Amino acid sequence: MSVHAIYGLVAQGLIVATAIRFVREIFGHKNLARFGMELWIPATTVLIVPVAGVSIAGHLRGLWGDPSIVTFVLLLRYTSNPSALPSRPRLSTCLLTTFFVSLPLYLPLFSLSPAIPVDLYSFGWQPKWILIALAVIMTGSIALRTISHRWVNLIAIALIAYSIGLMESDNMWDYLVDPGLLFTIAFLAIAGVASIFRGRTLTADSNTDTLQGAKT
Amino acid sequence: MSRGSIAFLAIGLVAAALSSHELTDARFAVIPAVAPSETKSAEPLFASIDLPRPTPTAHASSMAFMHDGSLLIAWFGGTREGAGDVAIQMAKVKDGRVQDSWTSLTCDQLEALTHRVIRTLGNPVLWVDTNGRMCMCVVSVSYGGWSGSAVNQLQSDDGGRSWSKAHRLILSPLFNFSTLVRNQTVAMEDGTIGLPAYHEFLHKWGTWVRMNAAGRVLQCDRMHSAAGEWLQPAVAATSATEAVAVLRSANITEPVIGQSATRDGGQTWLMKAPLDIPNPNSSVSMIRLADGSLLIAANPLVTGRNVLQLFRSHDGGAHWSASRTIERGKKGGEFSYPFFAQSVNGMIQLSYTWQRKGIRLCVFNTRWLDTDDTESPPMENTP
Repeated sequence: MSVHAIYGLVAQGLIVATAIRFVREIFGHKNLARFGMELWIPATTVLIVPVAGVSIAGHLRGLWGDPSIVTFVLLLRYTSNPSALPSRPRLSTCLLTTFFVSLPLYLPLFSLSPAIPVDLYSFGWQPKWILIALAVIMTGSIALRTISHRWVNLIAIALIAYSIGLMESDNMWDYLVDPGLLFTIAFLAIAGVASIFRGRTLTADSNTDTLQGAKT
Repeated sequence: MSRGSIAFLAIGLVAAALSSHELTDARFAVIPAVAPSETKSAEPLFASIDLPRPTPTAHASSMAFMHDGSLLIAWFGGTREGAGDVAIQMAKVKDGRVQDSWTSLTCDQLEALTHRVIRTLGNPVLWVDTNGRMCMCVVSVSYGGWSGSAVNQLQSDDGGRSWSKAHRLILSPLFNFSTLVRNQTVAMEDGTIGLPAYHEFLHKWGTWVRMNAAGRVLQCDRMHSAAGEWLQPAVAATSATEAVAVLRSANITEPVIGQSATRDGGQTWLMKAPLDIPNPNSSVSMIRLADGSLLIAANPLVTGRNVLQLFRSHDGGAHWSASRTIERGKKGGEFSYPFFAQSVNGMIQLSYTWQRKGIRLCVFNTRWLDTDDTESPPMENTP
């Protein structure tokens, strides 16, 4: 079995373990053991038990492919110890990522490239410019102390994984991001902006209430 | 921020930079054209044979010459297109006779090689790499229809009887949705391969994929930026840096063969004015012959695939003229998905889907092309 297949199959088991932990936390089970048996057993089952001749992990790979290295490490940290996760990205980071990464990556697939004329994904085959951009952004963020060491380590792990060819893809973007990660970041951006507007609306409403209250 | 994290990041950046495969000059490996008088044999030659039919349906053939001069032909066949029992069938043809045929790749085999579920198989594309190994890209579907498909690359050391080193080509950032292949690869001077591919989800367009001998993708760019629904590019290099591509049309308002071209070895492609040849949303094949002319095989109808005809250009694709008709059948018949190859002795091989029941192989020379098409082929000459 190739290293690509091992990575892809293990990643599917991890996704299932993460989903179980997430659902259980939603229902109030906050004190789950660090990657305990209740997570190991379903994750292993996904890897081993075949359905129609293929493991469940093989079905999941066929459905949504393999997650990026960044997502893999985030899921691994969340599943083993949620407190080890990097700090939640700032709203400005989420907005910048959505506008300058998610949209240029995905809009060309919907033939909306005239709106965004750059096919960002094509830069990932010869990633010289991505590496230069990463070096500049990370250097600036480190100098301004706007990034935690956990995020820096995460990017470094993804770059080293790319250099050894851990994933099937030859495109650097697939090591850094994936649709699940970018949709989550976009959701955080939308939720952050919505909360700002909701705050303003509440303030305006409360002012109105106060004014109305003064009249009465 | 610890110094350890900064050093770790620096190591990552350097390692990634060192492992990146830089593209060398993009130049097509073009064999110099031979003067027409040297390629013309005395007599016009034409022959056709039908390949074995192990399955009720067959479609989308592809061909490649092995180093021993034998011709390998692959196609997908099963109870019907999209069925779970569809497999890649292969036949070996030498000296005008089918020497052998076999089932080359099943869904189960590809599942075992790629470690993911495979529901059905689609178009295969064969080529022989610089080391003499048989290579194949094959379309597969895990979930959904053809627009949810992906491309797998495989290698064979025994002429297509067994496959190894299979891996999925990741060509799209959104769950690797909807990349397919249909037409032949183009060899580059540096040993890399140009693979014409296409995208089908929501909108259709051709893509140009460049891979090295190890199957690593070095480039994947759209072949055109103009609006319109064009797919299944067939590419023929006309010089070391120039190539033309013809594309199947999925445009309801413009049912003609599309055309794209490059002048920088495939790094950028520009859509050109479509050809004046009708296309009923059907696959087109193109080859550059030994005499330097270009030859297209297509269904030149607005609807239906019951006529298969050749068109030839002597000026690098600027002008096309109708040539011989290969098949002319009743309405509802199908002679589609042509695929060209040319042997070292100049004989042109054309395989195509015959009524979705089998694959037919035609062999002819340029002298036959030059003779008048006065006699129409018989109606559906049943084998």
